[in-house]
Amino acid sequence: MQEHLLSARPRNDWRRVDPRYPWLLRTHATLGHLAAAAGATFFALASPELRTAPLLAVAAGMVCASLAFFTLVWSPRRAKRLRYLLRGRDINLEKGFLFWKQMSMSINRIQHLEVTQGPLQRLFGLATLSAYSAGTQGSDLAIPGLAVDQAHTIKTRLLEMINIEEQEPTDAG
Amino acid sequence: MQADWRRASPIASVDFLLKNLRSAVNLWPAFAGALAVEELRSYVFVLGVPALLAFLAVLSCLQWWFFRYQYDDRQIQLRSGVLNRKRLTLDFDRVQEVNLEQALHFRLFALWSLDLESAGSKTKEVQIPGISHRLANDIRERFLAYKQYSQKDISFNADAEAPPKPSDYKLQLGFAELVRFGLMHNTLIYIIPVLGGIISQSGELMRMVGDWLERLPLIDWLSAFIQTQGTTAALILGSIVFLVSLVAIYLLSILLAVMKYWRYELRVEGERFQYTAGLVHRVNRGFKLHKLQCVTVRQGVVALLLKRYSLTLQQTNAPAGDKQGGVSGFFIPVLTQEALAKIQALIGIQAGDWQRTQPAWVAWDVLIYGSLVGGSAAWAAWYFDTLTPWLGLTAFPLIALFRWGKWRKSRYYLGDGWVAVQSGLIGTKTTYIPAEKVQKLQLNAGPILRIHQAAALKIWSGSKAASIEFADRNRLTSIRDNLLQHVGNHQGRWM
Repeated sequence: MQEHLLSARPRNDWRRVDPRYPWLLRTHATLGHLAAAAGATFFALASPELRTAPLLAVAAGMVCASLAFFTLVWSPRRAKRLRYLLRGRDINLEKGFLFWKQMSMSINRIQHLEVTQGPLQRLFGLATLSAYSAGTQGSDLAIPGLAVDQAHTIKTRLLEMINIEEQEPTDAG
Repeated sequence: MQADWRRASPIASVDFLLKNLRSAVNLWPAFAGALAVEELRSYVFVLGVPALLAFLAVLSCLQWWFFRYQYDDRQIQLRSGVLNRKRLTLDFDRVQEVNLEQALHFRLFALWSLDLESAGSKTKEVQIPGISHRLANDIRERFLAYKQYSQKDISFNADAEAPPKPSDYKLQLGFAELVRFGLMHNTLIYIIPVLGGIISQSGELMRMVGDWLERLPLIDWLSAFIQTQGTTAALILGSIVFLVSLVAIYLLSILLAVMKYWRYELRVEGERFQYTAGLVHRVNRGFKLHKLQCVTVRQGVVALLLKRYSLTLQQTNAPAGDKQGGVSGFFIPVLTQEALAKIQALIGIQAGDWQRTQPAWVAWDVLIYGSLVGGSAAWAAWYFDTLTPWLGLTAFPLIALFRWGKWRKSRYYLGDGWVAVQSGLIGTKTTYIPAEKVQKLQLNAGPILRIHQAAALKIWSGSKAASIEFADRNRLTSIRDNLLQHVGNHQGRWM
């Protein structure tokens, strides 16, 4: 009975996302910091009182430190902690270390599935698989960082499982 | 065989006009802005309002003229729209509920509005206003025949003339109960202060109100009285005015409750819940238990004193128009403890072993929010050099009292086929989600929660989400596992 419980499944059963995912996160972080630096530069140019050497040095240092943290520390750990598990009747996603989350959705509650690719994801050959339920806001389950083929494979597998569920005899009313 | 396109009764144009007037209320910012400018005020009242009313009246007539419907044994079709023409086809297969409503303007002419609720990713409600009872019956019988033929459940609920079948349960709310509901569910007590706050932001409007008050003879008498009798008398007078205003607000709330739920009768037959109610606007609404996604039981402060409860049954993503007095879903306004227990038994909710969340939650909230609020207050006091910064320390006991009160009411349990989550401060709100209706589960554990071996569990149903915060992690993991297994094994109908 215990092996049916999600919490009893060994850690090794959970699968990691594609090894290219940390690079996608690093690229996101770099672009975000560049945008923040551009904004700070604009304010510095517009406000003479902010254009002092110590203040600029501190601001530049903070941006560089933040960029270093997100690219060297946060991105690889974030990718490492992102795992998913497809069982016979449910799909599960786990992410985060400091703020850990584990999400679960039963196959028979999936309303529709989507594989999406943003422009940066296309650059790295990655995609996000999203499963939507009939619940209220936030009740979808999205697995980012999958190789495109892998995302479609999981989607196909889920659709097969959903069809099997629908063909099984149902209870009366 | 396709029937001819039919037109609703001309009285339906009144229905369209009322809907247009409700939509026109959204233009209030423009009106408020125009009223604030003295030069525009006369134009608004002399030209603007009459022109708008005339426009809406003409629009409503045109909407009635272009509104047609057609039905046969399988579906119903609607044509509507003046400039933006729409054509809607609704198969009976997708219809979940058929409700009848009789507004006052229809009552005089023995007409009804037929509401068909459909299922789908965007739940829609189709309404045909101003049709006769004979026609409504004809549509109903074709719908029932279609459902019987396709071996689906029957879901029509509103023929007042059919002989009543024996009920599993019947509840009738008398005048006294409606008065209690008016006291329990008083939204005016929140709206009026907010309205007052909005009005007070406009200097022009405040000046208008001040000028009007000054013209009242009562104000002269009050001013003279306060000048002669002093501050104490003024305070007593102010308290009397406040109490009288409060009584007036509650009397208005009671009046609205009586009008909305007059002759409220609930019938439960098997898995079908049905109620009729309304003094001016009569409503006949149904609910089938297999569509239930969530049950909410509320008991506010006043309800606690009156020992009464309100109960709402919600289905998947209830239609946007499915609001009764601001509440979405099938609403039972006021129940005694015994009636609540009976209804819960009919729904299948069983009592459970309530578990508390961890009291460490209180300590952390006091520390975090107390520091934020107290620190901000202390800084403000120091910066503006007004009061002593030590005043910021009063935030801690106040927040501690508030959080302890909330923690006392924060409970949960996993019962036989149900998960229940309770919250509140003085009153309570209890959310019951059937285990097989769970859509998604999420376990969270941040750094503070991990220190105490705790976690938070969020549970989504088809209509609502409920959260259990700061509880034992192993217990929540077990609840999550059980619910996931229950849903996975469930193969019956769930919506």
